[in-house]
Formats: sequence, structure tokens, C-alpha cells
Amino acid sequence: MHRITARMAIVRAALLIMVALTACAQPADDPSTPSAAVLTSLRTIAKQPIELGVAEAHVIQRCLKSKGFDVPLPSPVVGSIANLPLHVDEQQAAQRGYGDAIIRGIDPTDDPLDRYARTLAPDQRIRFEHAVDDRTAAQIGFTTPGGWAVGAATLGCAAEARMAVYGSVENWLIAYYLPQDLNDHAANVYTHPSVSAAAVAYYQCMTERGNPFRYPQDAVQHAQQISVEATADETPQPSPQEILIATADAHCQKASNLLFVIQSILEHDARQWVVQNQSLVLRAAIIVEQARSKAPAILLGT
Amino acid sequence: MRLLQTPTASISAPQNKDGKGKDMTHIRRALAAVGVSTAIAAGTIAAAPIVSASQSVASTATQLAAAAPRCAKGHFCAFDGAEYKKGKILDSTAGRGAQVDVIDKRTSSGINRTNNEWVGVNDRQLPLPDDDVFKFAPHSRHAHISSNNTIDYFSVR
Repeated sequence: MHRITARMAIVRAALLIMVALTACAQPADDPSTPSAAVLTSLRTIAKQPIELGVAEAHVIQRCLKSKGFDVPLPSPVVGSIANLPLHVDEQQAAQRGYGDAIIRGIDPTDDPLDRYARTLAPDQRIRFEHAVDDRTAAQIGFTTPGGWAVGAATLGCAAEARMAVYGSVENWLIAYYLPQDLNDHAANVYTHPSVSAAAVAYYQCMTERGNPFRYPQDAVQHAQQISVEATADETPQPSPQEILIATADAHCQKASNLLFVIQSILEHDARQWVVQNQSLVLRAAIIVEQARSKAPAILLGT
Repeated sequence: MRLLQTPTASISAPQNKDGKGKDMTHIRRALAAVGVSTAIAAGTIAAAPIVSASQSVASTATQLAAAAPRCAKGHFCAFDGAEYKKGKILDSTAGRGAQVDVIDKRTSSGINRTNNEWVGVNDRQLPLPDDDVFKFAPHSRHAHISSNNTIDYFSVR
């Protein structure tokens, strides 16, 4: 299964590189409109797969174990444009609820690494924190076109994981932070009349199913709260209530067309930024696709 | 260092932060807040050098001038000015699920030395969903935050 997924991801990455090269060589006819290749790349970085964060978490865990710290798996984090709803597939929702999008565990509010760190003696704890993130090392910086100036250390297990999954800390900064230039654009689409209309349809649909949430992000937040409040074991399954919410969410997303409308408006409103920064968008998408092709092997520990 | 006139950092009320009530659409505000430590202090300078990755496709590393003031391991710190200048307006160890208040629309830079993602949120009125202005990745620093300082509180995820 992992091998098939990896092969598909490699093919996707290769296609994306080909498309990117073509896009660079042949600019779109209308210079104010992003080419199809650039839009595909934008969609790739807009919602990055949680598997990349899970792979990163596995590398952090292995790295820390190799330094003598028997840590649990850290929580996964990936880049995305904020303010976009999580797309939920009805079939998957029926089986897994919101899956990895929900933080679960004995105490979901307690970070696994923090919990582990508290068990250590003070001197060991200092050594542990240094092993996670070595701030005495040189830092790599990246400034997005929108002016977000960000940086991260190049040593420590967090850096090692970023390099393993994304190729370099610089690549990780680009994949994680470039999409955030469009956070504002994404927030503003909710004021657009067509999004408001779709959101009303979504709300009515959810209300009919006993889950009166205005937006999909509210449904996810509520499911997260259920998980926080649940008396959970080490590997909790989604609660029946979460399954109900997630399946209703999936159904109503589809029925209202809300996500498609949001995406369409966002791509329209952000087109100038996308055209101006298409090289960077293409590069970020390639980083994400290459990371996706590596993730299955990393998860298998090979 | 300057002391701020209003409380600069505290745990936000787990619900009804802005009087919007317990509408299920704002359940995001009802997540339990957990331990937060705060401090109002200007930072001291840390010595780690920064190398900048270029925005262009062909990356060329250049030196950035900014150096980060101290923010302890396991803490999230927010600053009033870009590049960690002016006062530190938040110094917190809040855990996941917490919503941490900060002076409205002042955060201009920050350092995340926690294992969690800290999301700076612009508090908007219903029916609009709140605006996630900026997501601070674990173990990263942010010398300058654009978007005209619109952060009203932080959500730890």
C-alpha cells in the first residue's frame, strides 16, 4: 500500500516538475491570470497533507530516541493557507471521523513532548530541549513576498526532521510559510455574497442534521472539544458523536458546494499575488510533492 | 523595557470572550484554557546568527540583521515591535487548546519555542468566522509579521 502511494506521489512530483517547467517557459496569455499549472501548484500548497507532518513527527521521535530520550510521537504540523475549511470525504468520515485532523490521546491538551519532558530531571530536561531545537546553531531565514520574516534553527531533531521530509530547513520554511501570505485573502472570502449564500446553505443542511454549525471549521472545533472532554485511552477511536458530525459535515460540504465557492473566490481574489509570485508557488508545490513521495518510506522507517 | 497600561497577557476566558455567547459556531472559544505563565519584560539579545533564504527560486543565502531576544525554551513570546523591538507583550507556556489573550492588534513579531502551533487570531464579529492571521510553527521565530497587526488573541493548536 505504502509502495503504491509512494509510486503515485513520485509520479505526481515528476508531473508537477514538468508542468512547472512548461509554465515557466510559456507564460499565460493573460498576464493577470495565473496559468493552470500555477493554480494546480497553489492548490497543492494551500492544504498540505497531514502525512507530511506525521512523517516529520516520526523523524523527530527516532532522532530523540537515538539520543537516549524515549519520547512518544510528537503532534503533526503542516503548512496551509489558514482560514480554509477542511475538506471531508463522506466515506472516510463514516470510518474515521476527522481522522488525524483531531488531536487525540490521554490528554489532548497536553503536548506529548511536554508531558515527556516533565518526567526528566532538570539537567536531563535541558539536554532534551537542546536536542529538540538547538538555538545556538545558525538559523535559516525566509521572507515571504507579503513580508512575513521567519526563521528556524538548522540543528536539533526538529531541524533534522524538516530536512528529512522537505529536503532542507529552507524548503520547510517555504512550504510552511509561503501559503500564509494568502491567509488574509482567505479570511476575506467569507464576506463575498456567493460564499455567504453557500455558507447559509451549509448551515441549513447542518441544522437539519442536528449540528447547527455555520462553517466546517466550527464543526471540526466542536469535534476537537469532544475529543478533549472524552475519557480517552492511549489510541482513542473517534467517538460516535464525532462520526455523526464529520459525516454531516462531509455531506453538507458537498450539498452546499461551499468549499468550491470559497476556493474559486480565493483564486480570483489572490490572482495578482499568484501571478507575481508564480516561481515561488511552483517551487513550494514541488517541495510538497517531493515530501509526499518521501513520506511513506519515512513512515516505514526505511 | 516599558510597562503596559493594560494587562498584557492572560488566559482568555474559555468562553464568551467578547460577549458572543455560547453559540455553537463559536465553540472554538470554549476549549479549556490551561496553565499560562506571563511576563512583561523586554528581551535580551541572543547570539544565534540568521541566514536568509532568498525569495527567488535560485536561493542565495544572505545575513539578516535581526537577533532574537530571549524567550525561554518551552515558551511562546510575542513582541510589540517588528524584529523583537519594543516590549515583550506575551510570554506564555499555555498548552494546546488554550486561548491566550494579548493586547489587541499589537503583535508584530514572535518566537515560538514550544512544541505546539500558535495561531494569531483576529477576532471578527458574527457571522464571519474568526480570521487566523498567522500560524507560528513549533520551534521557529518571526522577526516581522505583516498584515497590519491584526492579532487579538492566540489559539494554541
